[in-house]
Amino acid sequence: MRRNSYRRRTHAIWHSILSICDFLHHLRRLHNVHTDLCNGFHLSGESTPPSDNCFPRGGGRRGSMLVAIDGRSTMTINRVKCMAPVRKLLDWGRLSSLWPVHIATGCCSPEEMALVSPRYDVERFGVLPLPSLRQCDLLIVLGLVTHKMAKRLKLIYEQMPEPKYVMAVGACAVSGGLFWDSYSVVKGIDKVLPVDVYVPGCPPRPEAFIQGIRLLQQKIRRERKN
Amino acid sequence: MSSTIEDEIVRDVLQRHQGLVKRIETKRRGRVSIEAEKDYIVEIALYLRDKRDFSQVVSATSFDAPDGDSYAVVYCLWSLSHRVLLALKTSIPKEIPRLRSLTPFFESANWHERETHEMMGIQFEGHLDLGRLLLPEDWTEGFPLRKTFRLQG
Repeated sequence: MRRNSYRRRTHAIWHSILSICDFLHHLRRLHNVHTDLCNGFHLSGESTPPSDNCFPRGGGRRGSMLVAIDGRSTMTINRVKCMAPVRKLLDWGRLSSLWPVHIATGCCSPEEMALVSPRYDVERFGVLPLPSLRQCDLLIVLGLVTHKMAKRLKLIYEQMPEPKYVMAVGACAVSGGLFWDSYSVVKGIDKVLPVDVYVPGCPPRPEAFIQGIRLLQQKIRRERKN
Repeated sequence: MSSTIEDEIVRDVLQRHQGLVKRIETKRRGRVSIEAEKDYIVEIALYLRDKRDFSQVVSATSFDAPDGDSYAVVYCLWSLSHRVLLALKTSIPKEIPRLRSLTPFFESANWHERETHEMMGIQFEGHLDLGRLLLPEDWTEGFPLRKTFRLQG
């Protein structure tokens, strides 16, 4: 059983993390900028306090990103210019080695197991499920997410390195599904995470799953052109 | 035909708690159901625990009673030695949803009562920790399993 003091402590930590991340989702997706692990960016140095405890949404040059440090001050990250062919090669590498981590909260998870089995063999698209989210760039949410789980889900998402993508699989993850009028269910995980691909179905067949992965790869390929 | 253990339990409870029990019956082998006033639940449960070896509360639950102005609370007690499952029912008014807790006497009632408290808003007097168990930590919207709870849809 969890002790009360522990509960209070963790709650405080969640609060400080989650309150920052709400703003960051928006910034990242707005500017369409990723902090690649492979030195695509460098820190511009100076940290500046924001004007009114809120991050500027429209501010910042294109190609740069504001990052929150300890919830009060911000820092700018600039993109380092690299040649178009190199960029294309990097993108190609990214899209053909999508390593997913999956949150299996429902009955869609057997479909995902079938997906990596020899019959469907999704590894030919470079998808290799890993148990560690620190090395993954795709978060697959399979099944129902409750309000209580949503906080943990967000915490997991924040621990993944950029660039990261989210895939909502199954009717429950897409819109709440069967439990759409329940008191405890998040009606679609896009209420808490920025979802890139939706795969509907109850549960979806592995073919639909593969189509979702192909769509995501197309999206990554086109990302920089836009 | 010799009397079964269920009949013995029914006879015993009727003898010892003559005025307290509203209804008692045994429908089939291994099942006994007792309906009593809310103030005597602990007394009857203690008697069953000490004399008849009902040592375990396997479930405690609550629901809106069909009459419309009370909540029904049901404890299920299990006797390992007799292999009998006993339902101990009572009803409490909706205005004052209070009931004496069984947790000081049955350790296994602890989480069942916490869940019932959280979902139906029933105050168990004498329970040491009626904190959050299943709902989110910042839940403020009331008691979701009551009929009056408005679902979002």
